Order: sequence, then C-alpha cells, then structure tokens
Amino acid sequence: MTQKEEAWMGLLLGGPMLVIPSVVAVFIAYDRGLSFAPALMFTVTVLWGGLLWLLPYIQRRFHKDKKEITFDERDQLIHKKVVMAAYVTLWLYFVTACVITWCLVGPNGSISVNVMPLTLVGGLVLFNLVQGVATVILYGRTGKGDQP
Amino acid sequence: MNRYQRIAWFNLIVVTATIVVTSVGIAVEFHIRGYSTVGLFGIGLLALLKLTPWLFKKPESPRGVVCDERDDLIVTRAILHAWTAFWWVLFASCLLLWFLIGPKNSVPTMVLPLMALAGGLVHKVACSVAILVQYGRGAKGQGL
Repeated sequence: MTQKEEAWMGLLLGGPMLVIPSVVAVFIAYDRGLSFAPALMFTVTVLWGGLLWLLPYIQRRFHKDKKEITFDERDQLIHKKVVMAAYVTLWLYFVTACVITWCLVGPNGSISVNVMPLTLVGGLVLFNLVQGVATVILYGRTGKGDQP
Repeated sequence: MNRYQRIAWFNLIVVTATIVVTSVGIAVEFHIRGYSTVGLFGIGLLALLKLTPWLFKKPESPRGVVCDERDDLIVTRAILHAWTAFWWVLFASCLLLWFLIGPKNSVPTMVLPLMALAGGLVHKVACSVAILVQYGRGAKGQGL
C-alpha cells in the first residue's frame, strides 16, 4: 500500500468510522453528562481506530517477499512536509479555539471542562484531515505515487 | 557556537527569564494584595524573541556560508520534535484538566489563552533544546 493509498484510506474510512462516532460520543457526554453509553462508544471507536492504523503494517507484512521499495527519499520528504503542515494547522486551530472562546465568554466567565476533550477531538480530526489532504495534494493527481 | 546554537541559547534564556519574572511578580503581588493582575505583564518579556533576526544577523559577505545541509536537517528535525512536544502537551493538558476537575465542573476562560501560551513556550523550549542536543557539546558546529 503506497502512502497515497494510505492517505485516501484515512480520508475515506477515517471520517465515517472514527470521526463521526467519536464526535457523537463526546457530544452526548457534553449534553447529558458522562455515562456508560458514550464512554463505551468512545472506547470502541478508539480501539477500532487503533486497529485501522495497524492495517498498513499488516499489509506490508504479508507482502514482505515482493522485495518492493515502499518508502524512498521522496516519500520521506513528502511525509515531513505533510506532518509539518498538519502541526502548523493544529497550532492555528488551538490558538483560534482558545482565543475565540475567551472572547465569546469573556475574561471573567467560565466554561464547562468538557470543552477540553471536545477541543482535543477537534484537533485530532483536523490533524488527520490535513495529513490526508496534504499527502494527496503533494503526490499529485498523476499516478506517480501509485507505484511503489 | 554557530548562529542556530546562539539563537537556541537566547530563546532558552528569554523563556526562563520570562517564567521567573512572571512567577515572582505574581507571587509578590499575591502576597501583598491578595490577588494578582500586574504580574502577568512579565509575559511581555517574550517580545524579546522577535529580536533574533536583528541580534543574530546572517553573514553579509557573499562568501559567508549561512548553513549547509546538516544544519537544515538539524533545524527541521528540531522543529518536528518541537511540534510533537506541543501536541503531547496539548493532549495531556486537555485530558488532565478533564480528569482532575471532573466532567460536571467548569474552568475559568483565562485558562485557555494561558494554555495556548504554555503550548507556544513548550514549542520554543523543545525546539531550542533539540537544536542544542543535536549539535552536541563538541566543536562540530563552530565553523559557521
């Protein structure tokens, strides 16, 4: 599986299978308080997400005998750029979220502590989204990244 | 000591001085008045970090080499380490706050900009430390 395919897989499967259940679980916890149902939903999503991240490694393990180079210098450079772009976006998101909440509520106000995990989930979603989109963009529309 | 190392040391000194001055200011004011409002202005010392382009100018001579591939690699790796440290601090601070305070309680909004500021400081410190560690203690980086 090439980096581009992994990025597409993350974008297409990550949204419906990870982001939506985790956001729904956090919203239920925010709205009705922490109970068994949202906690179970969030835990199952995290476990499922962990298994999904293992998929490329399992695939590589089964195709070990093909003697293919799946990660060269170009991939490494693209990976570095992608991670950097995702981190910078995360930083901008975090600062914006903090300052906007502070401005909206006022310096003397207070917010529910449940906003913290919500901010974190938002950051995780954004980080993975930017990583996937940047990988797809940097590999381009041509088939350059399709053949390892 | 090359330009990047000097900048890293300068950043570390400024961040440490800011933390010390602000903490002492808040502590003294809190001791005298019972609350603190002026102490936070010590954060203004961080503006010194913006002086690095003027304090540590690049060599102007056409033969002056500013940096080579090794320096670029070190700085890139340091920045990546710094972002990773920032990400972990964000992750830990959000979850720790939630676990320590409890899901039914609230936090003052002042905590949010302070968290952003702490994230920025952690990023700066981690980047500077990573640069210094990668160059090492030897004279390897003194040529530039």
